[in-house]
Amino acid sequence: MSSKTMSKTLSVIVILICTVLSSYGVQPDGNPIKIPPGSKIYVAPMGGFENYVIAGILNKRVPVVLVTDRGKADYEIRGSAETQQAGWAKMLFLGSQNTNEQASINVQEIKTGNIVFAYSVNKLNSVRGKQSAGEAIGKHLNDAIEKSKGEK
Amino acid sequence: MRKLMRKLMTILFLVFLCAVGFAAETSKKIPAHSRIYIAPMDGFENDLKAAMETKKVPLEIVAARDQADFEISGTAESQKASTAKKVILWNWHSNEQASIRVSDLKSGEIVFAYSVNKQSSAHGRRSTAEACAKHLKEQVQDQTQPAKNNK
Repeated sequence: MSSKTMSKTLSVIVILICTVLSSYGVQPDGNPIKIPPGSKIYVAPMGGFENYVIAGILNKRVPVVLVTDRGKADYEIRGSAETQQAGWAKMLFLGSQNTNEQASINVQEIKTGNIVFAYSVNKLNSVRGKQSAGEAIGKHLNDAIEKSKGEK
Repeated sequence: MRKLMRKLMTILFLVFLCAVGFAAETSKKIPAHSRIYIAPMDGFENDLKAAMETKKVPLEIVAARDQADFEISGTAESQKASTAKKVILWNWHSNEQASIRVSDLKSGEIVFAYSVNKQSSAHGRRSTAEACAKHLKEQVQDQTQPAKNNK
């Protein structure tokens, strides 16, 4: 086999290895991607807000698999959410009955215990209440996964 | 040497194809006429059952979780109109929000989730339950649609 053919073959092999590794969420330099697409995520109870987070994640088509059993999951989402109802002054002066919403979540890798993603949202006069906060979380989680894919 | 390289290339190519296939998104659907259990949601489960019947969702509701293929769980909140809302906005309607999720009991995967928020809801919880049922029906029908078109 000539040296040219050998080098060509080797370069093809290297490219293939890089592509395969990257699709499994590992960069060629060995650093793992924060949240690889297709990961199994468990959403821990957050006083009912977990349902809005799940709906937000599915609505924003985040490329992860949501599971109900923590034992089957690779990552766990935990957090808290608060809602402040509109007071009489807000209704009188602003004519608005929209709530103020704030929520904060973090994504933890179950095996290592590392927190790989965190996001907090504060929405004043949230038109859709908790749904808006849940969808904001879904959107930013999606961006984080897309970004980590792009960094490969 | 060449043979070995070819073999290696073939193996790597196959691994690559598998990886691409594995990474591709697979959308989970709820098969029509599946048995579904509705978990207690502080009374909202009754509204949801009624809504599923009204919207003719093609799913079989069962009373026991063991008999079911899927489970609906979630949360619902209702905020009655305050005195300020009645006096200032002249509005007696409640604000409603609900969020449901459907999980596959065998695999443990969440296959569908939906959240709804209705301000000054005309029919209270009924409106949010019907919105959930409507979207659930769409999810179920997505799978049955091609069969209908073929007829």
